[in-house]
Amino acid sequence: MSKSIPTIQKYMTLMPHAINTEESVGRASGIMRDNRIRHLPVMHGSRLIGILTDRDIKLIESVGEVDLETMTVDYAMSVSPYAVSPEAPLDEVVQEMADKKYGCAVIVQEGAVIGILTMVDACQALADLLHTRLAK
Amino acid sequence: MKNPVPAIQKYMTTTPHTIGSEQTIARASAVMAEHGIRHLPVLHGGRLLGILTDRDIKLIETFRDVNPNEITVEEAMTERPYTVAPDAPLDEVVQAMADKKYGSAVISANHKVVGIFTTVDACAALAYLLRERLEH
Repeated sequence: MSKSIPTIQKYMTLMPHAINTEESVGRASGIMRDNRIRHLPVMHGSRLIGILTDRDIKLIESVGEVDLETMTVDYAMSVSPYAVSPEAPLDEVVQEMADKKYGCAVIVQEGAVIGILTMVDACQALADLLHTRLAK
Repeated sequence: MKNPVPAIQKYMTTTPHTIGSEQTIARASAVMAEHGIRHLPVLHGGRLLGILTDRDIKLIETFRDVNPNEITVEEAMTERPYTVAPDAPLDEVVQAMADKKYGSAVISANHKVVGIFTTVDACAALAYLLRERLEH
């Protein structure tokens, strides 16, 4: 008898760092560097409204003549990130990421961000599952 | 009975579009847009020399005083991309991509590029394997 498809919460990175819309891009860059991450959920109050990636920051930096310490996160982020609940089946989430070429899914529970699943997490999940459930 | 780990060739994109190292990034950009892709293996005399991503192009294009019709692919590409054989086990490839944060693996046989496997392909492979081998 085969096992069941796991939910996203088993493979997400728990409690990701987040940033507020009115904080500076320079501060976001520092958080990414210190924690070696490439994605930051963007909050407005307690509500998820965007995602900021290292790629967004690099693009802005390369333009020149911008001050990252005064530029706010909402100027650089992408709005309406792909958000799912912790009980979402892993296959549905990664299928959507493949179809739409999303770089990550943000996991939201009762309005609060509790995790993130990036392409790196998806690769890691595939490697792990090939040794566990998918091998049985 | 145990399910074997599949080889990368089962999930790679076969005969990928490629680009010559002496071409311009404007041309590379057009190829990516035309085919809806984000990675181009870079060839010189039929041999793999590097990988060029849409991200590399976007970064360069944001510099001022840069004419995409004058910059060559070789100037913008990443050298020595992560390369594997067609029979490389899927688990090893995605583990390396997760550990090193690679965006793709180039599949090469007899010094010829035969495929490419991106993080999007990894998500699609994961969705497929979960549905084929496990139950909802």
